[in-house]
Amino acid sequence: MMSFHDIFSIFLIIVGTSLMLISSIGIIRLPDFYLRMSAITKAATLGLFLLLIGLSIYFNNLGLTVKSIVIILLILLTNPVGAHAIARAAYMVGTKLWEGNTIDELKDMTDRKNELEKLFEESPQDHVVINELAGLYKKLPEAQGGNMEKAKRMEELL
Amino acid sequence: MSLINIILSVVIVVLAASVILVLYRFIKGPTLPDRVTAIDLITTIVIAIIVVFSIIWKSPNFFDVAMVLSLISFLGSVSFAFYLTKRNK
Repeated sequence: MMSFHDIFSIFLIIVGTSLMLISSIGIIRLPDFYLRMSAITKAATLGLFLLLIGLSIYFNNLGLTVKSIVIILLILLTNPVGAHAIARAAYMVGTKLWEGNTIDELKDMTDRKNELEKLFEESPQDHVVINELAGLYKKLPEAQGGNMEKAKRMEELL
Repeated sequence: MSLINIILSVVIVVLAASVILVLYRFIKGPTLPDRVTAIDLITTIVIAIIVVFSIIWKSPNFFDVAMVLSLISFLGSVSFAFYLTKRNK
């Protein structure tokens, strides 16, 4: 006769394993680097989390539970940070987006910045242009042309 | 053989199959970031395999290996990201 405790922990183990299988199917099936990235980071982190929780509930052993909690904390802290770092680096290098993608806000902002810089050279006194350009210099990352010194110089012009 | 042992054996088989699936992307992967994320996912799956094996073999020392591996994988992915941004300059 199985208790509720056993059934619940076995359910967690099975769900965790299925999530890890789903994430490895996702890395094969999805069309684009960024989509693959989102699939594998979320699914694999949650899968390992549920697997370890299920095992530590089933065996009910103090040493195992503490070590599982340490592994879960390390994975929850490090996996999303590492994934973010790789995705950012891949965007900087110029990895292509999927052709069905319709939104690329960083590219829109960079284009708008270039347009505004041309307008600023033509008419350096326009306060609307200077204001928006200063905001963009603050928002953009450095590799896309963000620059705190330029933003300050723009604000002094106002 | 009790139910939990059968389930843990099935879990190991499923995880090994998913490592093989990820290896396909690692070999084929059109760009370098694809390969780096494939390695990242393989490390996560290997941590799960180590944990399940340490329970089947009843040797809790392998849990420490899993802890160290989770830290090493973070170091690897961050250093690859740094290398990617610096490579073309």
